[in-house]
Amino acid sequence: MPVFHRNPAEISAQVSVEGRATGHLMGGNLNVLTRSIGVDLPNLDGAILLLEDTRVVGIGVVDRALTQLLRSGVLRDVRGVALGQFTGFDDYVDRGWTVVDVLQDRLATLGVPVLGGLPIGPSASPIPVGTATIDTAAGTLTVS
Amino acid sequence: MTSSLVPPRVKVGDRVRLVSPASYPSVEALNEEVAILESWGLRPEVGEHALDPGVRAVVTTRGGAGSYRIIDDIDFDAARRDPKPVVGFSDISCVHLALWEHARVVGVHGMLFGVTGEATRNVLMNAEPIILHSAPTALSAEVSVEGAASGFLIGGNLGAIVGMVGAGLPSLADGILFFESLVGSGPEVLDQVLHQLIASGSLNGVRGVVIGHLTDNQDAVADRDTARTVTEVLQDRLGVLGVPILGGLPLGHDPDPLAVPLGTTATIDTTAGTLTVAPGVC
Repeated sequence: MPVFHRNPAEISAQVSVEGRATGHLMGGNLNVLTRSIGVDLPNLDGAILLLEDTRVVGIGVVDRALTQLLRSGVLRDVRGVALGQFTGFDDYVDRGWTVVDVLQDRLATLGVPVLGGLPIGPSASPIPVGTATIDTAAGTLTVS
Repeated sequence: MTSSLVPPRVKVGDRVRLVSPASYPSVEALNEEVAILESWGLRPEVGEHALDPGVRAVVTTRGGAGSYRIIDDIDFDAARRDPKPVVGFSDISCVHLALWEHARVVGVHGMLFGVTGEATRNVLMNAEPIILHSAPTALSAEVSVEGAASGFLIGGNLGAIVGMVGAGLPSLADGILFFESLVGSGPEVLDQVLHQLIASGSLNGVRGVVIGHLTDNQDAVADRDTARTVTEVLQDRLGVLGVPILGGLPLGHDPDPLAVPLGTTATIDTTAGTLTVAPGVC
């Protein structure tokens, strides 16, 4: 079973909501997911939601996208969140907030485990699709 | 559709509230905004609560980001009981859309500084129709579908509009959609955004489209082999709607944009190049 380990060097490793959760792994690029709302976004009930993104403008874009996902109700029954690479956000600060603050603030409202720091993103190796378990104590995402 | 609630016009001596539901201004900018409102003969108050009875307009200090976070907590009953215009643009478009969806209150796309401030004052304090002319040299004037159409005017910043798809975007049926600039985005992102609006059914029943400020952002094009310009993307995506489209309007993130009421009846005439909007106050 492929196991992905939290890499403390990834900026999203600083985001955490403790716990362990299992579900089918779904998601990917935050912008693509957001632009799919109301169009062809698959049902995310029972999923471990994977998110990664690349900075285009600032952290407001991430805040808007996460808020739209939250307000649309599509995340209501996700079981956990796995965060991959958030590229271009290192050292980016807007009025005291970083992408870590935005991710923590928005995703903690879901009340499910959040594991950050996964080496998953456009430049990383592909990951298998399947049932995934996140474990924040072990710092792992295991896909079966 | 419930008919819109047109607030009373703002009069000399009225109390108006300055609030920051999106980003916050510098102290200098806030002081300048207070001074502008005072120069109109109004009594500006800076505060957190916006919908107090007795306050005759709510003026947002600036756009930025964040108003989408709090729009679900607006006291829509209070907004309906005592209609008063909310003034702003950019991120404040989220507030305008939420107020329209839940209270049908007319708002004002505008702000206080410079030429825009004068146009905003006119919308707030004079119950007269607003006529805007398309500028042929503006980028968005390149987008055009000939014809005439009327409907309630709705919209604002395109990023704010698309950010409410699936999350409380009002029906645009029988309306005239107004949008302007997608800050920092090029043709590729614009194409994704228009696809989402159309494929989600959000534009169903729209009677016409008016376009304000646009930036080309050609540098943001990822694939130059298939690259189109922003105006080609708009013409291609919106042309299929089969409704009149008027671009070139001086609204949004231009250097000196004008102001319009949102929620009253607007008429597009592409031959005359005009957008005529019924008064936003009564």
